[in-house]
Amino acid sequence: MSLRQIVAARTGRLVGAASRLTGFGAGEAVTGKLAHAIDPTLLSALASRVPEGFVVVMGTNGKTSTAAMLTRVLNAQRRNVVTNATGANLVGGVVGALIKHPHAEIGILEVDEAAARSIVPTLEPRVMIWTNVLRDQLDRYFETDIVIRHLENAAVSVRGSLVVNADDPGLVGAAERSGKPVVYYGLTHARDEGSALAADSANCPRCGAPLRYDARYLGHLGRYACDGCGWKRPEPDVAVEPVELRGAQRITVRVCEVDVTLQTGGLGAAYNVGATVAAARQLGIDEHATAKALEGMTAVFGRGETIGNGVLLLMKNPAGGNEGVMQVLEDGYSRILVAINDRHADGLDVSWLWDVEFERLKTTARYVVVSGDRAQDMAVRLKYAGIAVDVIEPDIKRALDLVRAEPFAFLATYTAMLDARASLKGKSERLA
Amino acid sequence: MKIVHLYPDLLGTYGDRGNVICLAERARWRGIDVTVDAVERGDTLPNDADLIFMGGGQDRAQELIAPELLAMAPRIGEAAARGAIVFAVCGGYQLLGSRYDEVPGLGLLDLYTEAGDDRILGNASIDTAVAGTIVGFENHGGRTYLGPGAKPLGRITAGRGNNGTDGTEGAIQGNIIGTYLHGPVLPRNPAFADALLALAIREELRPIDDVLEMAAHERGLELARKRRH
Ligand SMILES: [Zn+2]
Repeated sequence: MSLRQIVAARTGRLVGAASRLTGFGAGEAVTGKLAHAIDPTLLSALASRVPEGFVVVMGTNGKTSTAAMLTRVLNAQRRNVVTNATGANLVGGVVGALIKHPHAEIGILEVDEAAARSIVPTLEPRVMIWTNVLRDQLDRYFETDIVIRHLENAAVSVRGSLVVNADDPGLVGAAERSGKPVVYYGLTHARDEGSALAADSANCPRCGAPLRYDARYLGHLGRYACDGCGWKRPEPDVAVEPVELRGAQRITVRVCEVDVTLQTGGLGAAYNVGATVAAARQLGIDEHATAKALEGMTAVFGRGETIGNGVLLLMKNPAGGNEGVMQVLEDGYSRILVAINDRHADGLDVSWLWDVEFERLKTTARYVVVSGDRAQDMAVRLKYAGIAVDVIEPDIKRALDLVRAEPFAFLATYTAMLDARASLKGKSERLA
Repeated sequence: MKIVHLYPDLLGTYGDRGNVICLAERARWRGIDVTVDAVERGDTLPNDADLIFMGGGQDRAQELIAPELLAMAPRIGEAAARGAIVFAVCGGYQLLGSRYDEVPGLGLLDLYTEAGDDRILGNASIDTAVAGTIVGFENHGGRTYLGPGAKPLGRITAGRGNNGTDGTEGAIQGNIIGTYLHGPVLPRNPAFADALLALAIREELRPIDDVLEMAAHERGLELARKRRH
């Protein structure tokens, strides 16, 4: 490393430590952002020191969880892994993670689609995982077609293979166009009554005809074929069979005849297992070792995580919201708190709430509180879903106090989830 | 009454279906019998619609559906002439004009749209004759200019509107109404929803409890006022 790069890394690290101490933001991302500003060639210098190269995870939902799963598998192999575990997936977060782990052998990095261009070409990933492309924060990304184009551009610098969700037709189309070797993963089946709302890629990527779905799991994810040109879902190389896939707190899936049980919920988790098994294979780790490492894994940030009486379900977009609604319904929660913020990380536009089928909760909801910066909009959404709102309490701490005496489900956008976790963790630690 | 929702699958990127849910529920709460017909690709337009709604889609979705919509344009025009209300938001609103750059539109509203340099994006509010203050979220790259046949739906009080320069927002021409306030604009503007319903069924509507809707409306107004550009 050049002197300038060393100075950049060191200055960044000091400021990052200060930011951790003062409680402003995750230290790593601050470290990285500053260091990158001092010396933009730092990323390349740092990346070249990681001997086994990088796995990059991209897509709308499931990046953080998939990266966490794959990191766990590699840790079980006693590999020294660098990962941006805090979800810091812009260039600052990546540089910060690399500064913090100077002796890493391999990197597992989630990368934001819009930031990929300034990160991925430098990393020249040996494996790139595509989880899904769903409608998310459209005020930021504008259109899912643009996100797919970001992924295609990122694929150009992949040295090895793409690991791609076969149940997402838009991704499969992009993977085929990339000309790269592709390993597919997908579900053998899932709940069939999945929401068809917010189905963005329901058209054939080859001829544009509407796709026919034999099964629809969530949005446009499912088993599809084109009657226009005969194009269809590729048979997955890694098929994930749901053995027990209900509710927010536990799933069991069978992959290549090995069962894995996770202490987390949802269709997303099942997909993430498939992505992890497929990517681990590319790194020379077989499904038995992967399954063994994943067994018993608990939920990451707000993905069916339980704190006190609450089960926390992150709702960033219609697909995540519809998945959360299904989990609340399957677990039969009657106390429900929904918290909607519209800060930058959440997306300024809350229109997507109307693409979540809250109507499904009509049968189970008995006590409902809405909260967050956009509590009023959420109350209107529920009113038109036929669900009576008991309390509108924009303050999240106070809203939690209203529900926490008994088991409750908590559906929330990203920053609302951050606020709630801080509050819940504080309380449960003080009680313990 | 019959509400027809045009291509909910392709033209519904931002929770646009909220408008249809809102109209149908508010009619039902007043004891009006409502059916909602979705028109999907390959379907024909029912000839007994009282209200036709069209949302906004992604570029590719709009390209896909454009030929079919263009072929349907005369029937939509006839429905409006017969008294049906046609309501379109965002991409649907643009499609009703004569063109977007060189791509022909349905030609049912006297306006045209050209691609702009940046995206008009954020919370907005307008003052209208049909429903007083309307709040919403604008998110579009096009610049729309009205011809003499169309009147603006309202004047921008916060935000940028049709083109960011002339202070207008949306358009009205006879029974055809369009706005850039995208996605679920009606649930936060109950007076606007009721105005459309009343025009569609040609009856006065009795007032209903709008406490929640007005709280969301007020919040929208606050957010629009805070917007910096
Ligand atoms: Zn086809």
